[in-house]
Parts: sequence; structure tokens; C-alpha cells
Amino acid sequence: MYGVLAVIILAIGFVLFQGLNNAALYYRNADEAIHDKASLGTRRFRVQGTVQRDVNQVGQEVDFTIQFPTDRPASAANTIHVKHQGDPPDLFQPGLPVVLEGHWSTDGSFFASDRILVKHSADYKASNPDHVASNAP
Amino acid sequence: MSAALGSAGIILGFVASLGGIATLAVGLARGRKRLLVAGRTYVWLVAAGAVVTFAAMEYALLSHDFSVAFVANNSSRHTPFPFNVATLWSALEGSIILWATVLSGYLVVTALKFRSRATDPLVGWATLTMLAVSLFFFGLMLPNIGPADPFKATGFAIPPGFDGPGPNALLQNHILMAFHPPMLYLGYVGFTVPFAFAIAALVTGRLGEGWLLETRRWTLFAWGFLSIGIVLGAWWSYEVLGWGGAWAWDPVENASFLPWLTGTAYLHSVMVQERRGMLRVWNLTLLCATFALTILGTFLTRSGVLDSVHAFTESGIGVWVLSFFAVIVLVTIGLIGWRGDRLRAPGRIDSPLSREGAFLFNNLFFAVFAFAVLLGTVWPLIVEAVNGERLSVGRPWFDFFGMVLGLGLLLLMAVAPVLPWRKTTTETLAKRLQWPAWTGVTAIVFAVLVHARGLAPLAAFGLGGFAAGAAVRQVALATRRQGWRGLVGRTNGGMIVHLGVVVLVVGYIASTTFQTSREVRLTPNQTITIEGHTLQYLGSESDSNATRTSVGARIRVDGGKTYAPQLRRFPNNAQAIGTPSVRTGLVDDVYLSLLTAPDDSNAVNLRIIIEPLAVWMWIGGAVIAFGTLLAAWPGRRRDPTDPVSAPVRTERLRDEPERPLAGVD
Repeated sequence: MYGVLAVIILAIGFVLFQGLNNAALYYRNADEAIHDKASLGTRRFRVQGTVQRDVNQVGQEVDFTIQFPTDRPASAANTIHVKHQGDPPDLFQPGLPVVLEGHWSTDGSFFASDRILVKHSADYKASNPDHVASNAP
Repeated sequence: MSAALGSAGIILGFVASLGGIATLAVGLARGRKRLLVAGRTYVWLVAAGAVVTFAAMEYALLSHDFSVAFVANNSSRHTPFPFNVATLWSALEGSIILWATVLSGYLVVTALKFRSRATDPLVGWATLTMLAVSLFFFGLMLPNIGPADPFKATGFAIPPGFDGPGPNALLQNHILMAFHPPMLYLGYVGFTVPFAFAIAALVTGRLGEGWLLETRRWTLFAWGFLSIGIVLGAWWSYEVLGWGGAWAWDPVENASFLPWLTGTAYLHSVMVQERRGMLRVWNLTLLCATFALTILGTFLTRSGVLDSVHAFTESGIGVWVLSFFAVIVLVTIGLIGWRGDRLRAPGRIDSPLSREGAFLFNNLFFAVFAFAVLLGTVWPLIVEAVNGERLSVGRPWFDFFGMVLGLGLLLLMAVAPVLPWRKTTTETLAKRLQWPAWTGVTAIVFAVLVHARGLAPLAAFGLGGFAAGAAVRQVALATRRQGWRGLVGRTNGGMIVHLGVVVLVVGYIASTTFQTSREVRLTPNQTITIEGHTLQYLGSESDSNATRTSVGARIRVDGGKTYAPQLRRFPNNAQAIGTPSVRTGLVDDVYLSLLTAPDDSNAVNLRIIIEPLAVWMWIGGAVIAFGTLLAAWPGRRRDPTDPVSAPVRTERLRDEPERPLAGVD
């Protein structure tokens, strides 16, 4: 009786764990995403950075770069070229801290994004320079 | 001046809580009735402390007393009056004041309600437990000691003409902000009363059904306020955030949803205990879990831990609240373990095809739902604490459980109300479910006719119609028998709540699944048509006052009224805040959100979302509130509850209508 119960609980636990692992999206700052490019492969993850002054909209695609951290000069180690499919969200503009959802392109030359979350500059949460809290899309 | 007064209020509340606890503890330990009566009077001092603190902070806010850091950081001379009042709960320290004030209100009402029984140890222990909770919240605010001292001095001389930044722009953008937090807190804090009685029952060993009956209506009110608070929060997010949705499985939303889930499970399973004396441990666990989850919610939303587990150690309040949460969990588990032998149930469930069997499934679903939401919310925190990896659990996780368990719960809502207690035959069940089933089929046919597609939404509409049919059947039978009294009482009021839930769920599914969203660029006088709605861009507008500057686009909807979605800038915030404008209708909402300010040729980018049935989410919320009121409506005068644990007599359970009606079906 208890054996059966234990097996059922273990099975449910396993399913939940698998589900969580699939539903979980890793979170990287732009410099970390570049550093971990090899291990990330084309896995989907979230990356945060600040939109730079080179936003180009071409049809359904928006081309721009993001940088993190921004207190150092832009370099290959902290700047990512992004190609975003779809319309950018409200108030999308250079200087905006954003969290992008997507993956590295197969050759690793750009980040293919399909979702942009804008950080609301002030909210309830304590500020933490290391982490841009995402809010509702 | 207000700072000194407010700090005095906090110290009064803290000391009075402490004095009350000490007096009651000695009285309970030595059995001195005089001390039990005396201990109760401390409740008034606690309330006086809370009122003084609350009034002092409101006075500081309204008189722009910038020598108080909280005022200087969160208020401004230009904040309009209602928002200035609401500023109290727009940041951490003030929200603790609100919590302590609401709690002291519940303390006073409890003391009044049980004034004739002040010497009853059950009431004594319950009061002591509530005072301990109040001690904790006043302790958080203690001047110079607590991590949330609301009257901390600004720390610099205030130059003449100084003005604060005002509350967070998102929070001063909609009047719902004045109502959503107080409602939510009335719910959160309200669960302290049944929790305190549960602890008192465990300590005194009076674990019969007496304490359940005493706290039944308190739990119902707390649950009702929590439901209203959650729906108002969703409404605020819909009206303000500009993405056209009401619910995003944001950790802050989950924090309020978790106690709602366990509280709802409790409201159902408690009936099994009242009726059959079963599930005692489970009910105590659910109730204590509900209270503990309100504290965990406070921890999640107020400690900064959601930003990063590393922020948690920086803000002092997290450690306090998490420790308090740990104490609650340990005390509860310890007490239940200690009283384990007295908690054995006298009966067992005869058949899964019975009312109690259905409640058991209901509890299983709610418990799994709560566990899944809790896991999804805290999983990123656990992972980051363990290996430093940052991740987030996305919507698919929550949506999956919401869909599967939501459908299961709708099915139970249809079947459970027609099930009798103990057991039934499939023939009776089929007979009673006949016309609720027809309403379900009608709902599906109607949905297909208006072009709703997709398996899950159609299943939800069908089961929703099924559940609504069962609820209406119950109320119809009860009113036929009892007249207007067939609408009140727990069972009948509960059916109205079920109707509200069905309406809300249908509104949510329709507005999220079948919405049409378009982003368009409009030049003045251009007209476009979307989903049968004609929108004409009349031109831009702008205005500015001391609090904000705004630009907007005037859009005429369907040739009638003009709506003006805006972009607003507040002086304290470089980023513009979108202010959507919504044409609300019974069939669909036209949700207009301005994406860019008018350019040189006065053209604007506009997001238009057509959301079918969105307004029914709020109507459903109102029906839930109304149903809760009906459920709590006092029936015929009930017997005073026996102070000792006694089996429940059947005449007390008169809300059960099926038995006398067995011949009708």
C-alpha cells in the first residue's frame, strides 16, 4: 500500500520536474549570453540588456542591438545583435531596458527574438542593478 | 509632529499586543477568569495604536510633511487628493500600516462578537493568537528597530519649495488603486480569525466541530474580500497596463491566488467535517496553509526576493517575514502532530459517488493547483539559491494547470451540487443531471454558432453551461420550497458564487482566446474597420497640468462616442506611461492603446484589441461578491454553539435541501 503510494508520488514528482524544466526559461545578461553562447546552442532563453541607438524596422522585422552592462564601452563581449520578429511593444525606443525571449541563430551571429518584455521603470520591487525584472508582456 | 504621533501609535500597538498576550497567557495558564476578561481590553489599545498610526501617516501625506522619509519618497504636492490618500498603501512601510490597521479592526470585531464568552479558553487562545500576529506586524514598524519603520526621518533639511516624486506613475493612473489593496488586505488579514480559532482548538483540545461553526462566516467574508481584491487587481491591470490582458501569472498575482485556492478548498471540505466529522487534519492543514500563504505572499512581494535571491538579504524585512512564516508552519505542524490522536475521524467515506466524494475530488484539484502554482512561483528562487542559475517559469506551465484543473473543477461544479450525501445510484444522478446537461449542450451549440472554435474553449463553455445549469437547478428548487430564503444560506449563496465563477471563466476564456489584436498607423480622419467596428481617428490632443503631461489620440468608435488613449508623463518618471482607453460593451470591448505620440503629420501608431465578453469577467466578480453575501446571510436564529466538542446535530445543517426534496426529483 505505502509502496504503491510512494511510486505514485515519485512518478508525479518526476512528471512535475520534467514539466518545470521544459517550462523554465534560462535568464542571461547580454554579456553572459555571449560568454555562454556555446553551451546555450539554439536553446530558448531570456536575455536582458538596454536597447542601443540603431533601431531599424524592416517590414515585420526589427533590427537593433542591446548592451549589458552599459557602464562600459560597447564591445563584442557585451553587445548583441538582435533580429526581432513581430511588432515591438509600446514605447520601444533606444535606452529602454528590455528582456528578450528567443534563441541564438544557428551560426551564432545574431539573437533571434520573438518576444520583448519591457521593464516598467519603477515598481514595487526593490531595485537590483543586476537584474531587470520583467513585467507583464 | 505627525512622525512623533505615528511612532507613539506604533509603540502603543506593540506594547498593548505584548500586554494582552502576557495577561491572557497568565490567565489561561492559571485559569484566572479575571485576567482573561482584562486581557481582552488590550484589544482596544491595539486598535487605538493602529488608528493613531494610520491617521498620523494620512495627515503627514495630506499636509505634505516631507520630513517623513515615506512622504518624501512616495508623495508629491501635486498628487490629487484620492491618490494621496491611497499613497499610504503604494509602498512597503505604508502597506504594513494598512495590514496592522485591518488586523486591529478584526481584533475589535472578534472581541465584540465574543464579549459574552471572554472567559472561554477557546476565545482566550484565539485572541492571544491574533495578538501575537499583531505583535509581529507592529514589530516590523517599530521606530529604529523594525525593518519597515514608516516614520523614519528624511535625514536632510527640507529646502523650501521641495517636492517629492509622488507615487509610482502606474499607481496614480487609475482610481481602482484606491480600492484594490484595501479589499485584498481585508481578505488576507481576515484569514487570521479562523486561523486563530484553529490554533485555539488545537491548544485547548476542543477539536470537535464547534470552532468551525464559530468561524464559518469569518472565513466566508475573508474569502469574499480576497476574491473581490483579486478581481479588482485584474481589472486594474486590464485598464492600466495596456497589453489588454487581466492576468499574467506574475508572481505578485500568484501570491494572492495561492491563499485563494487553499481557502476555496477549505470552504468546501469544511462541509464534510461539519456533516460527517471527517477530514479534521486536512481542514486544519488547509486553513493554516491559507494563513501561512498570505504571509508567504507578503514575503514574495515585499522582500525584493523576486528580483533576485541576492536582493533578499539586502532588505531587512524579508528575513523577518520568512522567519514568521517558518514559525507559523512549525507551530501548526507541531500542534497537529501533538493532537493527532484526537483528530481521528469517526466515520469514513461510503462511496465516491456522493457529495463528500465530490468534495474530496474538489480538494485534490485545488491542492494540486495550489502546489503547481507555488512550485512555478518559487522554482526560480530555489534554483538561483542552489546553483546561481537564473531562470523564469513561463506562462505555459501555469496555463496548462489552469486549463486541466479548471476544466475538472467546472465538471465538479456541475455534478457535486446534485449529489446527495453518503451515496447515490447512477440512475438518480442521471435524472438530476438531465437538464443541467442540456444547458451545457446548448452552451456548446451556441458557442459554435457564434464561430467559437477550439477543443479546450468549447469544452470550457460546455462544462460552464453544465455547471451553471446545476447551480440554477439548485436555487430554483430551493426558492420553490422556501421562497426568498431559498436564495440565502451557504448552499444557495454558494450556487450564486458558482454562477459568478462560470461567468468570470467564460469572460476570461472568450477575451483571451478569441481576441483580435492589430497595430495600425493612422493619419487624421482616416477610418478603419476591425471585426465589425469602425474606428475613426479624429486628431490628437494634449494637455498638461502640474501632475502630468499627456498626449492622446481622439478615436471615434462606431460613429458614436470618442475615446482618447493617451501617453502620460509624470515628473518623477522619464518613461511615458501608456493609458489605454476601453469602449466597454456587453458583447465585446474595443481596447485602444496609443503606441507613439503624434508625429509631425499628426499620425499615430495605435494598438487595437477587440476582446469578446471581457466585461463579463468583472460582472462575474460582482456576482461572486453578491453570492458570498447571500451565503453569509444569517438564517434563522442558530443555537449557541456548545463550548465542548459535540457531534453536530442534524437540525443545524438546514441548508441541505436535497433530502426533503428527494420525492420531487
